[in-house]
Formats: sequence, C-alpha cells, structure tokens
Amino acid sequence: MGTLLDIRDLHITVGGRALVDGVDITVEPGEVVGLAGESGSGKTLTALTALGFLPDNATTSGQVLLDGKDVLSLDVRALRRLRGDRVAMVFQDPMTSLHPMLTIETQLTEHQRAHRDLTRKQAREHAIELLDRVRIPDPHLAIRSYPHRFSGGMRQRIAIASALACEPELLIADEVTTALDVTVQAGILNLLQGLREELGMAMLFITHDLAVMNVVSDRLYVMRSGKVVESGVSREVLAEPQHEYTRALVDALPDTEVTR
Amino acid sequence: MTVTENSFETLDPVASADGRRWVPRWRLPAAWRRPLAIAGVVIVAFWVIVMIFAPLLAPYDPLAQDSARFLPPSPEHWFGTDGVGRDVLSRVIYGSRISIPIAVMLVLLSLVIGATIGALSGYFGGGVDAVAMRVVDLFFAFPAIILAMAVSAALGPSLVNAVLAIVVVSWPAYARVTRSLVIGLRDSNFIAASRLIGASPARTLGRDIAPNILGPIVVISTLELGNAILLLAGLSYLGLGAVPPTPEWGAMVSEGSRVFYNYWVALFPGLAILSIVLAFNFIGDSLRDALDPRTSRAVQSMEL
Amino acid sequence: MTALQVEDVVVEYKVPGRPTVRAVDGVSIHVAAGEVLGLVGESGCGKSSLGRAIVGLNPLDSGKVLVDGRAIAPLGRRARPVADRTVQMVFQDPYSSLNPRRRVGRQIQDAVASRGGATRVRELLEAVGLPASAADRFPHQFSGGQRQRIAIARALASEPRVIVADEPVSALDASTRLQVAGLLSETATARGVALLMISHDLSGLRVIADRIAVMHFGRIVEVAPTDVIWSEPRHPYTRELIAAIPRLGRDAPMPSAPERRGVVVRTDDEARLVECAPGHFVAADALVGA
Repeated sequence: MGTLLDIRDLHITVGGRALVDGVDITVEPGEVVGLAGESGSGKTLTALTALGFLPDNATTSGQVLLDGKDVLSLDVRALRRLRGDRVAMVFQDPMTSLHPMLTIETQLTEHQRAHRDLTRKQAREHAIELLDRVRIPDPHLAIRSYPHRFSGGMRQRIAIASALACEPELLIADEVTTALDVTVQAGILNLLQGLREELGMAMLFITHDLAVMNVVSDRLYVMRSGKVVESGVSREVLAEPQHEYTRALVDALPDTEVTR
Repeated sequence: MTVTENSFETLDPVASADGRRWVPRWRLPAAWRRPLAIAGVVIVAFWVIVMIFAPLLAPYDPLAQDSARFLPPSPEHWFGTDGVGRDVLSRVIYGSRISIPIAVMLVLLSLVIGATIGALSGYFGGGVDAVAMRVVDLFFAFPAIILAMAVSAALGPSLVNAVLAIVVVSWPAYARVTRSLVIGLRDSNFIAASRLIGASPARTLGRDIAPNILGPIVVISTLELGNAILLLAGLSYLGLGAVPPTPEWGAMVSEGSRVFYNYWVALFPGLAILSIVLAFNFIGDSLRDALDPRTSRAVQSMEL
Repeated sequence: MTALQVEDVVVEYKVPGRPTVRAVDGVSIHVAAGEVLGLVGESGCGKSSLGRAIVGLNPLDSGKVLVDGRAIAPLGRRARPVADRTVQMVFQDPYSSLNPRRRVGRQIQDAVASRGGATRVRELLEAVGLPASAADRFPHQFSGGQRQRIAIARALASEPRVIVADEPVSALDASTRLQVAGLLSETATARGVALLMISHDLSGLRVIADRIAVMHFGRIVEVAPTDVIWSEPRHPYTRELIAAIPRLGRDAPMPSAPERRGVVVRTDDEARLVECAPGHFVAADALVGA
C-alpha cells in the first residue's frame, strides 16, 4: 500500500485570507504524524480536509489524497462512506465530544451498523469489547449509561472507542488531551500507543504541546499562519530545531529534565 | 488598533489580537444591513417626522366636527371622515403625538421600576429576592390586559390612568429579565476582582453590572414598545384609556369597529398601530441578533 | 510574622440530597513575604477552593487565614474593609476577569488607594511590560497574555501583602506562559509580596516557585523546596505526578500513567504532615510501608 494520506499544495482561502497557504503533508500507514503550532496556524483546518470537511465559502486548491483518491473531489455519499470507517476523528473537549442524549451503546454502534453489515447484537458486543480495550470499567453497565456519568478522561476514552469502532486506517486526534489532567493524559497517551501497536493504525496528532508531541509522534510538521515552517523526525526537530519559530516555541517551554 | 507584545501574541492579522477568537469587526453593519431592520428604522423615522410636523401635515383640525359624516376616502379626505365628520387622516396624524410618546414613556417608567427591583433582587438574593419574586409571580398570574383593565377601571378612564395601569402590569417582566441578567453576572471574575479592591454594592451595580446588561435590556425595551402601544390601544378600545375626542389610535379603532361597514374609520388607525408595532419588533429583533455573540459571530467564526 | 498563614482551613460544599463534600480538608500552609509558594494538584483536588477561601471569595467552614498575623474575614455584602484588601487575586480566565465595558486604565486606577492614580497606573503598566497608552483601551483590544498582565497590574495596584494567583497562565498559549508567570513572580517578589501560585503544571512551577506544595483530594501531601520536590519526591502521589509529565529530549520515555484509583479519603492521622528532612514535609501515609 502506498502513502495513506497525501496532502499536496493545499490552499484554503476564506474571505480573501489564506488560512492554509500551500501545505504538503504525508502520512504513511501505521505512522503517527504530528501537526504542531499555535492557535490560528491552520493545523485543524488542514486535518479536517482528510475527512473532506471544508469551511463554508472557502476557495480551495490542491489535493488531499487518501490512498490515492482525492477526497476533495468526492461527492457527499462517498464522503459519508469514508467518514467513521476509514478515517475517524476525536476532538478536544470531552464535555461536548459525546452526544448528551444518546446512550453509549448508540454512539458506539450506530456507525458500525451503517458501515458494516452487523446485527444489533454483534455491534453491541463489539462495542463492549471496545470499551474494555479503552479501559472503561464495567463495560456492560457503561454501555447502557449516558455520557454525563463519566469524567472528562473517561469521555475521551469513549470518544476514542467510538472512533475506533470501524477500525479506521487513519485516526485524527485534535488536541485530545489538552483539557485533561496530566495523569489522565498519560493514560490516554499510553492507550493510543497500545492501540497503534495492536491495530497498525496511522494517526494525525494535533497539539500545541511540544512535549506531548515529542513522546507521541514519529514525525512532525510545525505550522504557522497556514504554512509549514519545519518538518522532520519529531525528536530530532525538537532537540535541534532549525527554524527560528520552532526554536522559539521550544525555548518558551520550561525545562522538564530532572536534575539528580 | 492593538497593542502588540511580541510576534507570538499578535499571530494572524485577521484573527483578533489574541488569535483565539475571531473579532467580528463588521458586526454592526451586517446586522443593520438586514432589510427588516432598515424597514423598521424607516417606519419609525417616518412616524417621528409625522409626529413633529403634525400641524403642517394634517389637512384639517383633528377635533373639528362637521356635517360630512362617514364620507368614504376621497381626494378631499384621503382617509375619509368619521361619525362626527372629523377627518380621519388628520386624526391619525395627530394620534401619533399621543400613542408614540406615551408608549416610550410607559416603557421607560416600567423599565426604571422593574429593572431596579430586579437588579437589587438579583444582586442581594436572600429574603429580598424571595419576596420580590413572589410579588412578580403574582403579577404574572394575571393576563396583562385583564389586570390593566381592572386597575384602569378602578382609577377611572383617562389616558393618565391607562398609563399607570400599564406600568403596573409591565414592570414585572423587566424585573425578571434584569434579575436573571444580574445573577448571570454576579459571580463573574471581574465583579469578584472589583469587590476585592473594595467596591461597594452601589459601585458594583452601577459601574460593573449595569453597563454589561444594557445591551439585552435595550433589546427587550425595544420589543416592549410594540407591546406598550398595543396595550394602550387595547385599553382605549375598551373605553378605559383615552376619552373622546382625543385622537388616540386605539380609541379610533374602537369607534370604527362599531360601524364596521364604514371600514375606513377603523382601518387606518389600525394600520398605523400595526406599522409602528411591526417596526419596533423588526428593530428589536435585529438589535438582539447584533448583540448576541453567538449568532453575530457565527458567520465569521471558524475553528482553526 | 509570616505574610500569609493558613491554619487548618476547611471548605465544604453542601449539595442538597448528597453528602457534604470537603473540598479543602484541613490545610495549613504559610508563605513568607517575597516568597513564591507553588500549589500543585489536579482537577478536583481543591486548590481553587482553597485559593478562593484565602482571598475571601468563599467562606471558611473552619480554620483561619492570617495576613501579617491578622485574621482576614470573607467578603460580605458590604464593601471590603481597607484592612482586608491586603489579599488580592489573579484569576485564571483572562477573558472574564476584566470588565469588558470599561477602559483598562480606570479598572487599575480603582485599585489604587491613594491619590496620584494616573501616574501610578502608568508605572504599573510599565512594570508589567505594557505601554502607558494601554490605559485608554478596552480589554477586547488585548490578547490573552496582555490581559493577564493587566490583571497583574491591577492586583499590584492596591499594594497587597499577599497575591493568590489561580492558574494564571493555564488559559494562555504555551509560548507566553513562562513569560507571564515569570513577570508575576518577579514583580511580586520585588515588592515583597507573598505569592501563592496555584497550578496544575508542575513543570511551569519549577521555574518560578521557591517551594512547592502538592495537594491531593483536599489535603496537602507534600511540601518542600522546588528542587527537592523534583529530585527527591517522597509521596507516591507526587511521584505519580512527576512520572506522568511528558518530556522533551531524544531519549524521553513515554509518560507513565498511574493505575486507576477512585476517590482517596485520608484520615487526619494519615494526612498529618511529618518533617522527613529539613524543610521537607510529607503526609504520614507515605511513610507507611516501603
């Protein structure tokens, strides 16, 4: 299989302003690629194109190739088939990432049954398995519950379980641990790594937190004002940044090394 | 024009200075460009001009009776004449001098009374709040027009008494709204900060809370103007407000409704009421949309 | 006399139909004039409740807050007495801590007790790195980091003895956090103000705090000078916190996650702080077992 995601010379302009200004990004199967940058850099917009989402009134040029096919040229039906199935996304805010009025079961099985030919029972069992995999205690009870019973960290795990339900080839994680405590974040990061090893899933991991980027991603792209200013192997780039912007971002962080 | 700190703070020139949200620079113009808002403003402006220049615009004396009764609309009497030969057009024109200023005054009075009670109730809470809100509940238990009728009938039919009656009936709505706005703000950080440096309750209410609730209150008041006119017209229609020969629109509709087949006597004052109430509603709606941070920014805001 | 002395403070939340929650369960800490004490803990540990109680925004259910030996009363209905204005706060959210409808300069000036307000406002703005012209602007014309600087200026304006900063940089972009935190700690210590810096970010505190107190489920479980907390943490929770922090560096390991644990309730005996080394205190439950 060739490159999983290949974004080529992407331009997104809204109201005369270039929000994404000539971006090239690749993700190979099984790879974790990070998109780093501050708010306003265009990283989320870029990642959303992998799902075929574009802002209203946007002028777009360039290609977003998912396994060779340009997502931007697909019709709505084809996009629906691909979303949740081959590409899935998890968002930042655990309080709003799940539908408050639907049971966990519905949220985990609905798309499974849409994309795969499963009976209700089969989908449900798979959902329980998923909850177990993301270490939600008492999955049989959890499946009947509503989101408000769960803490932020647990809701993110459930959102991840939902994203994984159809075993996507690409998972887009947009600041998924930013709103969480550091110990809860550690749990989610470990979970994602475990899942990646088990499923061979690729990830597009968006975060402004460079330390998280360092431990989670293989390669990264640093974005600023819609452009990629630096890219490369994450640990190399962050240890010895070449671009002044990257260097400034790294320098602005407190030293996390332990002196003994 | 923003104060720049360093290159990381300013980020994109199009985003707001903090780069975290979009500043809707073109918020007001967009709201006012809405056709309904413009229509509303035009209509109100029209009536204000009519109000001011009434003596110049009215072809006849609104109180002058004549033997030419119930004449249908004609080149001499554009709106026809009523039961005692008075020119309907002139009465409608002069009627604006009664209905509109009185409605404004009504709203202002109700607002001052209601907002004060609501603000104190919301800010201090406790016993004051409990008592005040029970009183408000009591008033809300009655349909406005019935209560207004009762008060007005008790005081005797006159324009002044109608005004009093309507104020009595209207202030609770303002009290409730103001109270919830104040409660929403009361625990904000900037209020806490202000109190920590020693602001007294009066200072806090006047300086910190009041300017921040003005927006929604203006919107509500504008919408209530329409209601005030309707209530006034309603009371006059029932004979509890303006007494003849005062050319108040509601009273005119009342008179006209008894001679239904002479449609013009009720139609034109009725249209006048309709137009001004609609106008106030259009303006109020547009103001509300303009002031609501969610709808006004919805078009421009995007997550990056 | 210590600038800030917190003695056995308890803050409870009563929710009808549920058992009372003790957000702060008998906390005692002290901060000297010109010192920075970092208070670290995760969400729900009670650090914000403690901060607000110290400042007077929440009432205390028991215990005392003493500034220069004098007890401070919580905010009542009336205006805060001058003597109690010696404790000020810097809030977490830069967007809600300034009145959106008033000019920034006026808001700072309100805090200046003496005459000569305008000059003082200029001085303060300069001290926090903003031009004097900022005084005539409205909050929405500033970025988040700039607004926090204004909030710092306002907190300093009333010449307090103690400043409680509740997560002052958590809502800012990562690149400005150190700058603003550093500014706060420098301006406070230069003026001999005792600074209680509440944060969930242990790494950030490392740079500016003299001592660090770790809070867990309403109790302080460890207090020590900053470098000691990092190099020799004694309490298992402190160790968990440190191990969970993602690191930079080519050889950085994956942060480790603690095994899941529910609510931890410590008895008074378990929570009692024991001095295990000079200036290093740890809760007694850490000393049980190996």
